[in-house]
Amino acid sequence: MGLQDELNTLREQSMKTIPKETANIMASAMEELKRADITDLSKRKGDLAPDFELTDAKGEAVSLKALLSKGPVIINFYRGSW
Amino acid sequence: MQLELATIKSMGAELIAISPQLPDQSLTLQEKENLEFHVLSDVGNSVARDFGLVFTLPEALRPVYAKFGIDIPGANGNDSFELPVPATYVIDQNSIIILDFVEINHTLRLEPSRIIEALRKLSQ
Repeated sequence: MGLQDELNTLREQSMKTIPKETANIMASAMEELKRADITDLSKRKGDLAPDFELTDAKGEAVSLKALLSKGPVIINFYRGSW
Repeated sequence: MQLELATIKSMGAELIAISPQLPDQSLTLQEKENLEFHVLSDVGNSVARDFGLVFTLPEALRPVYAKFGIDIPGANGNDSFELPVPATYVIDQNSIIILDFVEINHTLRLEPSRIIEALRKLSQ
């Protein structure tokens, strides 16, 4: 079973616990976001990744360029740990 | 995912996770010590903006999140309600993106096997 299958199962379970009215608000907001073409300007395959330097959980500076000098890098943007 | 992370690392790649959360909010001390990848704090979404990923959470959703106990202004240190579109990139050593997955629906994710496949192509 792939990661997406596992996530789909979790989503189905959690949606059962959410009131219908709330589920409807979430669904229509998702449609609104999809229509808004937010991702039209997103970086895609073939684009140059912009360099950056950010602070990690231990307060140390991490730069993309420095990591790339050692090997390929996988970046995962997520909304939050909530 | 733990297994895939080991494979990714054995292929010489690093994994970084970026969110707009304040650093002290993202993880407990124990979690910080056990991390096998970099968890970076992008307060104000400046890096996410460079990648063209920032959106504003629709007003209708804000009370829904609050009801779930999710305090976005508290977590991010501002009340902009700006968030990154969930996205995963694989970047080669020339800074070129060789795989992208940009998906507004946060319940959809890139299969880790596709990351490993992209890394394998690089090493060929």
